[in-house]
Parts: sequence; C-alpha cells; structure tokens
Amino acid sequence: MKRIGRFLALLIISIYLVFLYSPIIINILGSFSPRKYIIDLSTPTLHWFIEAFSNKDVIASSTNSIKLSIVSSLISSLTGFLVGYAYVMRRPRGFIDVMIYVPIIIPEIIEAFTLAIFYITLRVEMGFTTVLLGHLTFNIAYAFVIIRSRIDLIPREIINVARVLGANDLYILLRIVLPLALPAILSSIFLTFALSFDDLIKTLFTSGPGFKTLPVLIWSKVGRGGITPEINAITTIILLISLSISLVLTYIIRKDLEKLS
Amino acid sequence: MNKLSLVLKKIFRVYPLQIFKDPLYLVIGIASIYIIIFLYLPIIVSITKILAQGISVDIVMSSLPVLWRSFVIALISTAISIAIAIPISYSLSFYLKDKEKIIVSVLIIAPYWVGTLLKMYSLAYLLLILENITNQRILYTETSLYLGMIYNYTPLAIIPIYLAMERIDRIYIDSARILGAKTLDLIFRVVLPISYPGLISGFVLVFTGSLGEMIVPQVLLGSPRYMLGQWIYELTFTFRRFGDASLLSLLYLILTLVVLGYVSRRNGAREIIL
Amino acid sequence: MLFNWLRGVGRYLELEDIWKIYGDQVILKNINIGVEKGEFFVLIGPSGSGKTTLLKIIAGLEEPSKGFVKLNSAVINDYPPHKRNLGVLFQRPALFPHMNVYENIAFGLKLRGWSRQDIDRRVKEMLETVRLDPSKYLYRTPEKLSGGEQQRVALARALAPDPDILLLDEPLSHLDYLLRKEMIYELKRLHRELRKTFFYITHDQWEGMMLADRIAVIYKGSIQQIGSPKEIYERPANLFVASFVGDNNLFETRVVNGKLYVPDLEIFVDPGDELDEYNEFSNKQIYIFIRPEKIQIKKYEVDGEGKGLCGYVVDKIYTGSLSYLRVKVNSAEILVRDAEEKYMLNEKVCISLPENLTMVVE
Repeated sequence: MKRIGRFLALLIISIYLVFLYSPIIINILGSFSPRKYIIDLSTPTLHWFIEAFSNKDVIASSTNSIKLSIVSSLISSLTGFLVGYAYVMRRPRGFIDVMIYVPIIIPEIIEAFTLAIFYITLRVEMGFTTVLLGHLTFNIAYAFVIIRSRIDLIPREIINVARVLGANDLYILLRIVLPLALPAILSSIFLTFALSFDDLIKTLFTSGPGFKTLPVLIWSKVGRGGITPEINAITTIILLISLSISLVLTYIIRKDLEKLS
Repeated sequence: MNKLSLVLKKIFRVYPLQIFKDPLYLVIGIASIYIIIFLYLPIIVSITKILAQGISVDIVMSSLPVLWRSFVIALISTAISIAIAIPISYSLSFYLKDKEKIIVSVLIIAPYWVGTLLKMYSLAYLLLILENITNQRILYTETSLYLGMIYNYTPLAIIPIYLAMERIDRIYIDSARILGAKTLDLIFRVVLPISYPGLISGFVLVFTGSLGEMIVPQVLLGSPRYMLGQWIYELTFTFRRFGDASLLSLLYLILTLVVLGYVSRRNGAREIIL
Repeated sequence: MLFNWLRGVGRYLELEDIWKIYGDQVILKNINIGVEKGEFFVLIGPSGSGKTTLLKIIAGLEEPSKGFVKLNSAVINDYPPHKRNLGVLFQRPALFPHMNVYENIAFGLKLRGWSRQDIDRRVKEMLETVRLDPSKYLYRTPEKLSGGEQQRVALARALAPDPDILLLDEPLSHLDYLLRKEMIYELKRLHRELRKTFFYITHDQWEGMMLADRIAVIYKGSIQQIGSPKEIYERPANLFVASFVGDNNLFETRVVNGKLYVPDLEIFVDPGDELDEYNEFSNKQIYIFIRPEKIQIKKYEVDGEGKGLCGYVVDKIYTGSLSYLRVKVNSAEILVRDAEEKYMLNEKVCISLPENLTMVVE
C-alpha cells in the first residue's frame, strides 16, 4: 500500500516539476536554435546571443541592471544585518516590530504605484536613484527577515557571556554575531541581488526613459514585437544566472543549518 | 516627561530620548524612518491625490469591467492553483524522505527568484512552439492567461500548504493508521482539517496577489487593459489620471489588508514568508 | 579604569530590596541577600522561583524594577555588564563556536588590553586550573569537546579575567550523575584554591548543601530562609523549607491544653519550645517535622516497654548507600532510616521519636 502511495506521490511531483521547468528548459534550448519558432538543435548556434548583446540598448540596460543589483544587494544586506542585530538585542514591540515586514506582504504594484506618485508629486527625475530607493524598501525587508532569523538562532547565553566578560554591543556585533551570521548575510546578498535584477513592476513605475534595466527592456520589446529569439537569448542568460544563484544560496543555508544542529 | 514623549512611547514602546543614547535604538529609528518615507508616505500622498481630484462616478463605471474580470480570473486561477497545490504538498510532506524534501522544495522555489516576466516569457515561447506543432491558437487567449496565472502562482500556494502539513505531528498519522484509517480517510479526515489554516493562508495570498497582476495578462494575453494591474499602469502612464489610479490602488490595498488581517486573526500565527 | 577601582574597593555583594515585576507578574519580591567576600553562596529553589532572574540582575543583564545591587557598598545598578568585573557560568557552556579554546579563554583578557605574553601565560594557567592539559586542548574547537570539557573551558574563560565574583547558573544540571559529582568536587577545590566569592544557583538541594558555605532558599520570588546548610536542614524557618530540603516527616498538630497533639500519630509531643503564644484559638498552624535518621526503630516485642509507637513496615526503599522503610503507625506513614537493613516487609516494629522535635509555624 505504502509503495503505491510513494509511487503516486513521486509521479505527481515529477509531473509538476516537468510542468514547472519545461518552459524554462525550452526557452534555454530555443535560444540555441537557428530557426525562429521551432527548436532545431541539429545545428546549435550562438547567433542570437551575439545579435542580442551587440545591441547598444541591451548592453546599456544589462550594465544598469548589474550596477543597480550590486548596490541594492550590498546596501540592503548591510542594513538588514545592522537592523536585524538591533532588533534581536533590543526586541522592540508593537508597530515597529511589524512595520518592517510590510513590504513583503503588500502586492508589489501598490508599492510601485504609490512610490511613482510620490516621485511625480515631488517632481523628482526618475533614474538610478529613484529605482534604487524603491528596491531598497523591499530588499531591506527580505535581508532583515533572513539575517534576523539567523541571529536569533545564536544561543542567548553566548551573547550574555560575552557581555559579562566585558564586550560592548559593537564588539559583540563584530566579533561574535558577524562571523556566526556570515552565511545568512551571504545568502541575503545573493537573494537581494536576484530580486533587484529580476524586478519589473517597481522598476517600471519608478524609472524614466533615461534609465532602463534589462527586465524593463525585455518588457518593452515583448510589448512591441512579441516573442523573438534575441529575447530568448537574453532571458536564457538571466535564467541561468538566477538559477545558479538560488542553488548557491540554498547550499550555503543548508550547510549553516547543519552546523547548528 | 512631556505629553509628546508619552504618546510616542505608547506607539513605539520606547522613550524617545533613549534613542539618542543607545546606538542600536538609533539604528531601529533610522530604519523605521526610511520605511515610513518610502513606503507609508507614498501611500498617504496617493490618498491626497484622490482627495484632490475627487471621486468621479465616471471612473468607477469604466473600471467596473476590469475589476470584475480581475476578480473572476483571480478567483478561478487561485482555486485551480490551490487544487493543484494540495496533492503536491501532500505528496511532498508525507511520502518523501527528508533529503528528497529539501531538493524538491528548492526546485519548486528556484524559479521564483527568476522573476515573473521571465517565467511568462518562457511560457509564451513554449505555447508558441506548441501552436506551431498543433496548428491551434493557444497563445493570446484566455486559456493561456489562466495557464500563466496558474504557472506563476502555484508555488506560492504550495508554500503555506506544505508548511502547514509539515507541522502536523506524525503521531496523529500513526495513531490514525493504527485505528484503521486508510489513505483517503487520512487525507480528508485528518490532514486537510488540521492543515486548513494553511489552505486558507495559501488561498488568500494567491488571491490577493492575483488580483493586481500586471505581467501575466500583458505577456500571455496581449490585451492592454484586461486586468487591474494593467489598468492602473495605463491610468498612471498613458492617461496620467493619478487620482483615479490612486483610488483603485487604494481599494486594492484596503481589500488586501482586510483579507489578510481577517485571516491572520483567525489563524493566530503571523505569516512569515520565506 | 573602572576595574581597578572596583577591585580596590572590595568584593562584598549586597542585594537590597530587589523587586522584579514583568507586566503583572511579580517575579522577585523584596529580595535581601548579603554575600561575604570569599564565600560560596548558594541560592536554591524550585524551577520558576526567580533564581535565574536574580542572577541576571546581579550580572547586569536585566534591571531590577526596584532595589539596589551593591558591590562593597557601592551601588552598581547603572553599570552595564561589561563594567561590573563579574564572571558567569551558565547551564550550557556557551563557548563561542567560531573560536578555539585559546581564543575563548582569551576573550575577556583581550578586552582588558592584556599583552600577548600575559594572555598566553594566563590561558595556560587557567587550563591547568581546570585540569585540562594545555598541550592537548589549547587549539581545539568547541564542537570537538565533550560536555564536561566544554564546561571546564567555560569555567576557565569566566575565571581568566580574575573577576570579583563568579556567578554560576545551574552549571551542572545538564551533566550526567558521575560527571556532576566530579564537577562538584572540582568546584569546591577551585573555590578553596582561588578563594573567590561564588554565587551559585541550583534547584538541586543536595548540590546546594554539598557546596555551600551559606544557603538562601527561594520560592515563588521571595527568600524563605538564609543560613548555613546545617541551619537550613535542622531548623527550617517554614513549611516550604522543611519539605524542600532533604527528606522529612511532617505532621500537623493541634494545641490542646497547652500541649501539642499530633492527630495522625495519636500522641502528645513536647517540641521543647514555648507554646504559650499558641493555643487552640490562634490561627497559626504548627507542624512538627522529624528527619528519618533521627527516628529509632526496633523490633516489636509483645511484652516490651511499649514506649513509642508501633506499626508495621509497608515499604522498603534501598538506594545502595542508604536504606529506608516506610512504617505505618496509626494513620500515618513514616519514613525511617534503616541503618542496619534488618527489617522485612510487614514486620511489626516500634519507633521512638527524638527528644527535641523541631517546630515549624505557618
């Protein structure tokens, strides 16, 4: 009985995984195919990649995306670390406790839209900074959640012993919490990088014609010309990068959790 | 202490003066101020836009079709996503070994970090290829829209349901089996009733997210004003009717908060999504 | 530096009118304790009685709602933990997992600006003090140490900066029995050699009795009694202390005509204390208690003296080094020490109570 159950379970999960990954895999394969809407891998080619990345716009928006994501991930992870530490040491209650989780729960379009209105009202020019500030709002929240949970797992006695032995808050932060929370900080950097890189909605609302990221570029191309192999090539690159990031991330978190128990 | 300090203490549970002596409180304070400026203040600003422009019956009427469509599409796609998520979560939670669970969870979550746009694009491409093979119109139909919604939101449905099922102590399962329960009994009389809050969470999360979806309809349907998300975008950037867009956005926000608030009060636990 | 100032002033610890209230729960009520310099002071009480909270208040990890913590007459309430020059040992060793043994022990010394040579010397000295061979343990990481070894390193770490007082929060409760016994002797030895003030918390009253110069018994947030182990054992101040420390036979009594009557035993007893203030109209309840080892037991002889109470053995309890019997006399079951182990179940025996009985008034 149990064996049938397990077989069915594995079947269900496999079918779903196939469903989940086939578009992605087809997309990746299709970008190597010389023919437009049919996958023919008898003669794989890098033609579309070269086409796509010799395009000025593509290069510009890729650069923008990378710059934005690096800055966003570093700032938000550092902030998330400091704020996470502050919350664990001081344990604020009430509204302050909840407010930092809100960006995760609110649908992104509301955040994006209200921020756009805010910028428009202030007559601020939309560009790198406006997008970055918007990204930081949700990235800090995610970084905070990840890093804070990890800091919480540090046994309270370790921090108390350090305090009695003479360490002040800063010393504990740098010599004890930082080394122990390092895997979580790394994961946070990777995660927020991916989130910023792939973000469309918020970026779309808060960027102007002067500043385009790669997803925004893809969005406008799709809106105009629909599905093209060049876009396939671009998306393939992003897919491969994002997927490997999430694998690295998981590996880091797992290793760390194993050490804990 | 003056009255202002007392009031601030009630809200923030900390004496304001303490903030300046203690660097950690300062950190919390700065973070709070940042969130207030870039999250809460914009919401207030958009509310003022509504008040400035006034609420016209006009806009409400012209938005009704979009609102209704979004509601129906969200409802149906959420229901289907949940229906798919339940057997997947159950299989994952009760029939897989620990190591396998981790691998599969990672595989399910990984596409999420790729972004909705890329997922929808890949799906569109796949459907296009299928069109070529079967000579049938698949892309740019309501069907493809639903496929896209389900494709995008099922992982989001799986997370809370799976977590709720994981939390069930296996002692209940063992006891039920010893008492004679067969698998179907287990599913409908033990697991589903106990994981019911997780089901509700899943439904609510997916539903509120789906309502405001912008990317899926744009990529897979092509029609520019089909769902609420697209409509808000159009109002903002094409028609520049900020007050109207704010109104819709506010309604959406209130609906989301009310539903989430009601559900988390019923379930008690806070939803921390990771 | 502050450390020098505190060191120069002295090491006498005083807790004055300490209260701790959390929301509407009173955790500590009017705590007054004075610890002598160099004393091994033990605070015993059941779980939830507030002991750990009190220790945290002394360490500066929590603030009292009311009251003062004084070190040699100087109030140190406002001093954060890192300025109080105390050492602490918790239940779990809590060694820093990302540092090796050397770095763990050196932690407090680095903070005080010791030179590299001094630190080296001191760390080795500390390891030897806790009986760990430096050549083997110096660079090991915590996960490679056993529970007992970790606890020793934690002890070395706490003692390295030469704190005025060492606070210990049930450090032996997670160790198994043999290890615990060994560590108790270690702690006693360390206390003798270092002549440091120890403030020790435990719920295990045997541990407390074995280690302490003086004991404070705490229950539900208030101090029940402070005294030497002998005082606590032989003259408990109230019912709780009498029943918490050691095995005991407790009997309710009534005052009848100026004498003390024990209903369960159906006899009158003379507690040796004045009964004048107590009569049948006062609302204080008097209990007498008798330690099992103070009761004499002998075989029942039909035409024996008949002095004493007689009954029969209902239970034999053998714990290796000690033997006990439960003897049913009238409606009471009495615990008696059976030194020679010569009585059988259901055997008829007679017991006689000691001359002076101890009274507890509630």
